[in-house]
Amino acid sequence: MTTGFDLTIEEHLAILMSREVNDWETSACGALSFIPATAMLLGREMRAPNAEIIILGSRDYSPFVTGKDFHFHAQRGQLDLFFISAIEIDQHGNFNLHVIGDRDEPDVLMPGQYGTGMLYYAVPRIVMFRTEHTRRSFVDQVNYVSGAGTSPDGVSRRTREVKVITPMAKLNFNQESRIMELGSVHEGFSVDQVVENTGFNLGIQGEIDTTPQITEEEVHTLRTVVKSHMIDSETYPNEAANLIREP
Amino acid sequence: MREKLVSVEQAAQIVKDGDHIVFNGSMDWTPMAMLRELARREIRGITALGVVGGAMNLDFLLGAGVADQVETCSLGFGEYARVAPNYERLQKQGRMRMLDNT
Amino acid sequence: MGVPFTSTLGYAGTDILERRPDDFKIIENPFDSQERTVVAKAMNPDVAIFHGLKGDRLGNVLVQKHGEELLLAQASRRVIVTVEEIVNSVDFEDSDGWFIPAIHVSAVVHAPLGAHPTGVPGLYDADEDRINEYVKASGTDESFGKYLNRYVFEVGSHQQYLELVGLRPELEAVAR
Repeated sequence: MTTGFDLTIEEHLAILMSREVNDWETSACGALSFIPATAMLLGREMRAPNAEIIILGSRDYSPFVTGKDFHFHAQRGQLDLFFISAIEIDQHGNFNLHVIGDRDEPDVLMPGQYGTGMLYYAVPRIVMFRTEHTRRSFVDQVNYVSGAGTSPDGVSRRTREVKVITPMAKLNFNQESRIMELGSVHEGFSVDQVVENTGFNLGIQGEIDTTPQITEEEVHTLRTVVKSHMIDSETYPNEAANLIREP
Repeated sequence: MREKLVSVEQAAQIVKDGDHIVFNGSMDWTPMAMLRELARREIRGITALGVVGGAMNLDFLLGAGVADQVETCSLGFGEYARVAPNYERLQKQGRMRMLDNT
Repeated sequence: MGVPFTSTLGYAGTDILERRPDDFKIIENPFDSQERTVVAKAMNPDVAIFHGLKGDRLGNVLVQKHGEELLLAQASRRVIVTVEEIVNSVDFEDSDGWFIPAIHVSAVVHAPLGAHPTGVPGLYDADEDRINEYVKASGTDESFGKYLNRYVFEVGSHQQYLELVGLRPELEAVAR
């Protein structure tokens, strides 16, 4: 996809997301989250050797005794970064993890959000991601607000930074205007393409940056150290074997 | 001291139509013997709550018509299905109410 | 804990809160008029039902080590616990599980293999074939009706259910 590395979508997103992991911070993802899990492990190799990594449901990176302890940990303010994926995200920073269609008689039904709604308020930095950048994913108004981008007046939350990473672009949630904006476009894509595939107005003003290039070192580290570690530690071993290429 | 050991039929008498019943969340340990007895007695109007999350417990009560309302943060089905199957069928037909949670 | 509601994080601005105005509200923080918080109405469940390892006649039970059963028991007006085996006296120190004292239990029921077709870790695996059968049967009213007839209505007791599925507790037929 970018400059001859022949990246899978998962590899591409994991590399971009890995750049969000900071040293000495606690970063986490839920269950069924291969891409952010990979991103955190790559982030630790590349830039954050002292990162605390939580991958719910994994053998080696799920440190809590019971499920709810993770959520209480987050509520007490102990998480720094959390990764979220959702079926829809809108320009107001709302996401939908429940239904497409009417909530009481939907066309598409998800199992539920398992605490993600609360985490959106409890964790200061949120990175949302999607494996597709399409009008049906990025909508004007979500079918159902599972997690809200803005709380009603006076209701406090810890959220201070929300980004969205897709195969085409990075979006940032403007904390003042409370609207999603286009932050950068990845190499190989144009602003027009992003606008065309986004179901809400990105309000482009002026030049848009290009996302910093994927590097040889990132790809190599992912395909060697991270891939073999994931297989050895049984952290999404099948996905790692199939979705991360050989070096 | 009071003896509390009873039969499944006797224990089921504790449950009345319209009751609010809580369950542990996972697929393992589902109290199926008791749930089948509730279904057999045709108990109705139950609200079933799963902590944390729900699976076979809530789904069986929905399928058997015992519960018409459930509350939980996630109603999956372990590795067997992404969404609990009776929940999916009945919710898509508008025949039950889910009280969502974070 | 005998209080009408509790302050909670999240919910504000979501459809969840909007759909449940009887359960969640936004109020002013009584200690800081600049701040508002979501409050959740206290839940008072009528019954808690769960399955455990051991029970005794007095109602002491041993359940899984890392679940929410104690919390559920304390929150509920009545508590029904089905157990794999009845012992003379459940030992508070039993390291196989977590002890719940009889004061929190209304009824104990002896139901060996009582979680079937789901499993009990350490005792028996889930019966994957039967669970897949359940998933398949859940496709329509008719097919699930047939499933219920077979496993619920045409079966008079838990013992008969076990015979129907070809299990005898002493055999622990579903392999560990």
